[in-house]
Amino acid sequence: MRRFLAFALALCVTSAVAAAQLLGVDPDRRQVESGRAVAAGAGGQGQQGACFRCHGFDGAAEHAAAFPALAGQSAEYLLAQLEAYASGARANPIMQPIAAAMTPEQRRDVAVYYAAQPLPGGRARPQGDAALLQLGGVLSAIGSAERGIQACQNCHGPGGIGVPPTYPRLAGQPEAYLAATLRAWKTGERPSTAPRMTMAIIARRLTEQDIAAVARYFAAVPAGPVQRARGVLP
Amino acid sequence: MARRLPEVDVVLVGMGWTGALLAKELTDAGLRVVGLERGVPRQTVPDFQTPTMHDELRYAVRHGLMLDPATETLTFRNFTGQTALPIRQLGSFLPGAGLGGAGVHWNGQTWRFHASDFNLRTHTEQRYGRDIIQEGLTIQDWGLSYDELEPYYDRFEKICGIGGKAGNLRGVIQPGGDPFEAPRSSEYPLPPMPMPLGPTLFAQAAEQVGAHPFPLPSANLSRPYTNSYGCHLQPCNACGFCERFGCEHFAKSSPQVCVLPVLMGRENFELRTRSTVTRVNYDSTAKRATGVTYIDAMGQEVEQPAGIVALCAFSYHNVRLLLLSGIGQPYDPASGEGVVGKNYTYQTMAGVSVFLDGQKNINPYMGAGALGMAVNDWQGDVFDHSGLGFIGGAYLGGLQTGGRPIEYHPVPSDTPRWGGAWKQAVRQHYNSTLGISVHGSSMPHRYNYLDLDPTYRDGLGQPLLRMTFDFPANDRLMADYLTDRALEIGRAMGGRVEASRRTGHYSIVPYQTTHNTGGAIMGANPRESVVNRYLQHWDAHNLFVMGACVYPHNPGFNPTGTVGALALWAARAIREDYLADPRPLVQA
Ligand SMILES: Cc1cc2nc3c(=O)[nH]c(=O)nc-3n(C[C@H](O)[C@H](O)[C@H](O)COP(=O)(O)OP(=O)(O)OC[C@H]3O[C@@H](n4cnc5c(N)ncnc54)[C@H](O)[C@@H]3O)c2cc1C
Ligand code: HEC
Ligand code: HEC
Repeated sequence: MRRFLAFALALCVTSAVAAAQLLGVDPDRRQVESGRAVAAGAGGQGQQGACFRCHGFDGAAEHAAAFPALAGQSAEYLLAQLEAYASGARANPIMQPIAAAMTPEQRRDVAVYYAAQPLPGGRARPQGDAALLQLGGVLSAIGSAERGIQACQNCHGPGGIGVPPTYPRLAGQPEAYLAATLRAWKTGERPSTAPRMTMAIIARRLTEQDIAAVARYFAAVPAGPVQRARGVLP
Repeated sequence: MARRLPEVDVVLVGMGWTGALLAKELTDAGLRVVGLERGVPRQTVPDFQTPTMHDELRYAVRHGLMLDPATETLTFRNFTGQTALPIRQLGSFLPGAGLGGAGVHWNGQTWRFHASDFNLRTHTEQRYGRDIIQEGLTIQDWGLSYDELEPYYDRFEKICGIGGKAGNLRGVIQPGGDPFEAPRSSEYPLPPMPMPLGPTLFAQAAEQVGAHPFPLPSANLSRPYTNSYGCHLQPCNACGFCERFGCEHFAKSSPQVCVLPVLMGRENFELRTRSTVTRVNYDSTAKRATGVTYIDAMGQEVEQPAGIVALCAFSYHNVRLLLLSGIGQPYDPASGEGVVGKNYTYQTMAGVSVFLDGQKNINPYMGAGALGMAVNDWQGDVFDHSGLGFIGGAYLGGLQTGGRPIEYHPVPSDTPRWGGAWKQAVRQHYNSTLGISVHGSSMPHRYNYLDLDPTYRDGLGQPLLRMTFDFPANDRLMADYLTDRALEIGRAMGGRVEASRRTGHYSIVPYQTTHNTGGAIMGANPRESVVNRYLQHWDAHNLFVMGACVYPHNPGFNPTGTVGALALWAARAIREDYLADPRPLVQA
């Protein structure tokens, strides 16, 4: 019985956070301020690990360099990623040392800070292979019967706008980042949340062409304007 | 003139749960099998994907995946002497239509029956004497024991990937499971899903009143899973669109995810959709079914001869087909003679609402069809019925199946039905109200039965099935007693409680369950039953009848665990016993 109680409490906590988000409760000012300081270089690595150098203070996507947008993601999701980098579970030569050098409070605060940033506006649709874009759209909307893949939008929301706090936004992320992170699930460099392993299972079923297609498609969906996904963390 | 096709080894009527299981098992044996399905083909991708599938109006309110009563319906009355009228809008139950049958849009609560259910009459008379069995109750033994069926329950659970916690492993009681369940040979294939707050509060309160809560066995997957047929399933994300909807995530066990991936494409299997079987062709001299006649997608009549016919068309549809085909003697309630249509039973449902008035946030939108906790302390014959005046029981469940916007708005009964006060109440109670369901047994009664309607016919000119049913006094007493137990648990949860008791006549209008049972019951002899213990028809040894229509009574559990187990049990008998020497497997 105790086990179920623990489960229930865990769910209570997450759902209180979700409820706060849906109700638009403002994040803690002090967390946002301390998070901004981390973004400016107050983390363990100092200026070298200052987030703004790559992610900007607005957390917008950097397409040419394949730096993912942080704005528009929930604080819960961002924190989970920082913890995964810090522990080494999510392997990445750039982010791993940066995340590991931060204190748990700094990781929390910087997650809250970026989650509180407004989404930048949309971008122009990329040119190129229309058939590939179409395949990406089909995978997003209905999935693939042959490979047993359900529609991405079942979880990530229409056009990949994200369903906070659990399901990150894909719309407007850099094409190269999306492709790279899906491949990282195939190779095991990016962990899937156990025991469900959702994205690892899906990524393993995607062919190289599918990955190219969904990456192209979601990168082409205008990023905004959508509702901000601010977060409140304990 | 019907077009006559070449003979096949097996023809299956209906491709829902039982049709799919038989098709897999019998094609494994090398037989050439044709599956005839009245409805359309449909698959997880593309047919069940969001946002389309999360359309509550289309699927939950307007029954988008269910049988259209304009295609086939039945007539209903509470008792003989009334004139039965046709049901023009689905209500009390929601039969499936289309590939996968109701297995597409079921909840997934997957139970085993108790050992004493299988020999109900003998057990009851031995424990209490004859007097406890009320006048008119036609309970009888099933001709099969729990121990014989156990390996097939186990197999069905492993085909589905049921999540649960064993309470009785080979006779040893296990902590955290249901201590009253019949002994299991192995643990559930998967652990339960994490419990949300609502069911957890129910479980705590149940413990306080001395009951034994456990996670309800669920076909909503808690983990990625590869089943015993080699099909891959994925975990449920508690989206709350389960019963009445298809699952977009391959996360609810169904014919589509558990069986069809390995069946479709087999050379010895052919699926024909939009094929409505109108009768089983029967040679009464030879006492054999010769095949079936159906109407194909073009509206043409086709005859499909077959060595074996299996009815898999869902419970009461199977009964209607037997009656239309003139196989077996129709039941006559006046004389008590005849068997086809006898012992039609249902499920005796009641419930309690617990209003916590904003003290808790239970987030009811986070749910799954079988997500919850249950107690079986007052199930079947777990408790002493001496002096209570009834037999049977129920499980009490604290479930969280999904708080969808149109239909889920629990409010106290003194709330106005519309307007500002109603809206205010919905706001107050949406997130802090729990339901306790009383899922009760249904005992057969001499005057509850199925036959062909003398007046009303379907579009093909064939008589509709007529259902005559009301809750017997036994079941009303049972439901009252169990509702009192649910009230005790509700009070222990610390809220305001309100019971919805089993009062008045059975109504065909509000949804209760799609657990229609009996009408073509199994038993030990042809005088009392339609099929023998192998679901083989007493009057045609090459005709098998699947589904819950074979239950002589309906225990206080959802039926499909046993429907699946019995289909696998019958398939084994056909493969390993019948094929080598086709004959009645039980001597009358
Ligand atoms: C909303 C809902 C929730 C449910 N929840 C649960 C639950 O939680 N637990 C549980 O145990 N059970 C549940 N059930 C019941 C469960 O779905 C059924 O017990 C199960 O599907 C029965 O399997 P079957 O093979 O007998 O019939 P089905 O799966 O319904 O298949 C019958 C098939 O036969 C076809 N057919 C009918 N007539 C003809 C004909 N003349 N010719 C050709 N084809 C025909 C139909 O189109 C259908 O596809 C639920 C049902 C519903 C509707
Ligand atoms: C030198 C450039 C650089 C710096 C500095 C940097 N990042 Fe990153 N960040 C990246 C790259 C590249 C990725 C993609 C890594 C991958 O593919 O796993 C990334 C990924 C992330 C992610 C995962 C996003 C997702 O959608 O899963 C988070 C969260 C993140 N960074 C936060 C931060 C924070 C907070 C800081 C400052 C403390 C920071 N980053 C500093 C380059 C940088
Ligand atoms: C069953 C739900 C589900 C489905 C369906 C799903 N995802 Fe995901 N996805 C998730 C979750 C949850 C995460 C967060 C990471 C985690 O928990 O593993 C995620 C993360 C991602 C990310 C990482 C985003 C980031 O910022 O790093 C990408 C990319 C992604 N998914 C792509 C897809 C694509 C493409 C599809 C369809 C082919 C898809 N997903 C279908 C649940 C899902």
